[in-house]
Amino acid sequence: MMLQFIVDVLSLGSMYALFALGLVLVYGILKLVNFAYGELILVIGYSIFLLKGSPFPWFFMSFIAIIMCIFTSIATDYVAFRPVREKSVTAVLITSFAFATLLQNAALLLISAKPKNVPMPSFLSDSVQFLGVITPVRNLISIFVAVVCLFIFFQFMKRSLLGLAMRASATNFNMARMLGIPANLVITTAFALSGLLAGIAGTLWMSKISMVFPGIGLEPLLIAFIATVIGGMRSIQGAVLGGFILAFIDMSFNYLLPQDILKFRDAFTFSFVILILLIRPEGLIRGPATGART
Amino acid sequence: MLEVKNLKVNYGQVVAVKKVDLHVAKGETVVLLGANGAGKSSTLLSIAGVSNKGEGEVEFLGSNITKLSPEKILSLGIATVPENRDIFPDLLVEENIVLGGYVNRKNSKIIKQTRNEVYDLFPILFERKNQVAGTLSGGEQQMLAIGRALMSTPKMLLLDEPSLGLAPTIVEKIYEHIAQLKKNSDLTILLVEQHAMKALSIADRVYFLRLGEIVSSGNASELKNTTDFKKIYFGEE
Ligand SMILES: Nc1ncnc2c1ncn2[C@@H]1O[C@H](COP(=O)(O)OP(=O)(O)O)[C@@H](O)[C@H]1O
Ligand SMILES: [Mg+2]
Repeated sequence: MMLQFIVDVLSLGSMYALFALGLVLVYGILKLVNFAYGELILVIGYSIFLLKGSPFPWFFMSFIAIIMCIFTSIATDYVAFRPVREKSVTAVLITSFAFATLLQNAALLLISAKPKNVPMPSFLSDSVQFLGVITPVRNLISIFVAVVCLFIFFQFMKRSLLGLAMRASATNFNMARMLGIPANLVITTAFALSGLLAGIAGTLWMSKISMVFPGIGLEPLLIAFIATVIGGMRSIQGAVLGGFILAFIDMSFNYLLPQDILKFRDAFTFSFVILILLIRPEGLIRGPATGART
Repeated sequence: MLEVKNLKVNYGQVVAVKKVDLHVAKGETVVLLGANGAGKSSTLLSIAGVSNKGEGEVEFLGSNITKLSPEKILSLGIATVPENRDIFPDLLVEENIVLGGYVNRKNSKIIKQTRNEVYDLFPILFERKNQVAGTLSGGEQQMLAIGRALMSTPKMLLLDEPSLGLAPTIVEKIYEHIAQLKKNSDLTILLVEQHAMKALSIADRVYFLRLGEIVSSGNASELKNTTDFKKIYFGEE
């Protein structure tokens, strides 16, 4: 029972953590929330859906879908952020919402308002049993994928010059630029990595729900947003921690709440998050000292 | 080498710099003196490409750099040590140094050589290289900020109040390092200070900035002794 709970939290948390990390990467550099972030899940879902009839193996399809995700993320920068970045926070808020709506409406008009089935390899849903735990294969894969991605990601941030430049830029973008670190390179890298992480997390998400619809982006956006708020908007470690904490809260309510109250789970989760923020308004991890928008 | 013409800097409605004209010749050390709020930092940051220039022109080595980005300006050879040092506190000392050499990243020989020179100039940084930069003392952070700037092998250094918030003995030390740096290289320096005496000791020429305007200028050696320098500096009419 205990181990079952841990596996459930870890597999859900893996997804949440990757999602949150993707959101906080862009926020860290620009101090702006990308409200079109959830739409990357839409891109993942519809990309795999549209490739359904193709002769490619599933792994190749999801690979292409992740590439699409990275491109969409970079496009978000060019369409919604770059033109108005210098102007005001409100402007970017509006443009990123507009870009999100554009993608949703495109899906609505060109495909359908109804949910579409996203094909997934059947072995992902096979159950495995070990040490008294029964869980679908995809949950174990989620944990494995997240561990590998997080390891590579943090190594990149720690060891590569570009990673160091990203961390420096998140602390003090102007200073980083005064050292010759190109703003555009840093921003594009942030959006690309954000797209990559959302793409991977989105594929894991798809393996769970196997369908896509125009409004699919809202929930992941909320999850990523809440997780980063819990963990502290400025810290990449905080985002990961926040993802796992949110999964822990969600899963605890899943286990504890009676069936007829379960549909109000999100209300419980939100209350809990508000409680955390009342105690620690900065989130759990404070992150780099200077967080001012530049 | 550097020529600033009719510079005006404003933050929204606030005019920080009304009108600044100055020039710095190759190899010179020029000091910009002025009280708190005179517009010294704004002048320096706008040369570095960070603060918006309302009006005016900045020329470096004969080309117009007024509208260029901070990263481009650095790559042309102007490195900046800002007022509050702005080291990256979460990164290691060594990582700060490495980032300083970003523009030279393709030339590992230059990086290595400059890194050795920086550590020779500031041995304490070498001792602390695996320490998180935020744990350094104020003086050490100032050295790190200077060392980091030197890593880009600049032609010109913009130094904003290196003495700020440091104990007198530490200020003494920092200025010794700057003097040594001057001796060892042909680096051109534009230094901003409130600490007039210290700055004058290493300067060739001086500008006085008051309420966003250059009110006087002259040779450091001559000005050191005149009494109207105090008047201008302290704003006594
Ligand atoms: N980011 C800013 N926003 C608004 N006003 C500023 C900003 N930076 C400086 N100022 C104002 O501009 C004036 C000059 O400031 P500054 O250049 O920092 O002077 P100094 O470096 O000589 O002390 C001051 O009145 C200051 O309040
Ligand atoms: Mg200042």
